[in-house]
Amino acid sequence: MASGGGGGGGGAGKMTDKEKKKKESILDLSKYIDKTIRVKFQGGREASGVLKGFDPLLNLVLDGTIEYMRDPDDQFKLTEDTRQLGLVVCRGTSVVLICPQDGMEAIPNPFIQQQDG
Amino acid sequence: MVRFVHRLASVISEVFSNLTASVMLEMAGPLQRTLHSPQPGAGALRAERAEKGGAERGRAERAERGGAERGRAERCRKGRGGPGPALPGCGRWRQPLARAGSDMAASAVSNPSQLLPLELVDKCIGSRIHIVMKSDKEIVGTLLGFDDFVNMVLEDVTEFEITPEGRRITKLDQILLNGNNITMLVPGGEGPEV
Repeated sequence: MASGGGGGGGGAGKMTDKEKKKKESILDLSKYIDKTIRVKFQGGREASGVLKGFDPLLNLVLDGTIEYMRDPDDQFKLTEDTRQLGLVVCRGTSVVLICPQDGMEAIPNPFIQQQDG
Repeated sequence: MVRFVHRLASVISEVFSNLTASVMLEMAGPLQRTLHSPQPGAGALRAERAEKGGAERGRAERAERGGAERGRAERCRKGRGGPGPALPGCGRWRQPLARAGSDMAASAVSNPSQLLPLELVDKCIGSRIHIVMKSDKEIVGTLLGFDDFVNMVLEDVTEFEITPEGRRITKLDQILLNGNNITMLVPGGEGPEV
């Protein structure tokens, strides 16, 4: 039991030294603190809210959260099917996109081909 | 003579407990390897060996074991459950993981007014919570606890399916909700009003 504890403790100690040199977040969320951000999730959900906190695993704390839900007949009009959630924790494992709220705007579909003739 | 050895042993183990666990384990490492691997319940045997003459080695081993346990306990209390999943019972997060993104951890810790997400979930233990899954499912219940993966134990649970319209099952007792599909957690939320 002593050798098991010693091995585990020594291994973990060495691992954190190496991990500190390797791991580094590519996204600094501290610049978004207290700003409204838009978050997209796996599964199609979207939400926006004021970023109150985060951790390195990308779990987020959003305040005044509005959730936008996609419907089958949705061309993604923002005002449709929203609901207020208030203070929420967003799971980092399902976050796929984070951007500032004013960093996105809806544009007409650029991929629609104009049929001539 | 025996009493002197015992008193010396307790003094030394107290001194050792002030060192960090990892430093002490490094020190005890070579000593440990020279001993035969002891039986788990061989504390008495070790004490005898200490009396007979392997006094130094016995003392160091006992101190190392005590220090390692104390170190582990300290890590648990502080919430720095280093290797997360390997240490059950250290599920409450007080600080970000040291092993993932040290830069971000540094910036997160250095800003004390920031709210850590898992801290907020921890504060919610004992009260109602509304959980939104990746799919169109939502769960409302009383949060009893969660772990490193944010698997959740809930009580008095109501499950909602959003698209087909309507409440689904009301489950009592306790459920274990798999954290794989959790997207959002709303503390104190009452769920969709249908």
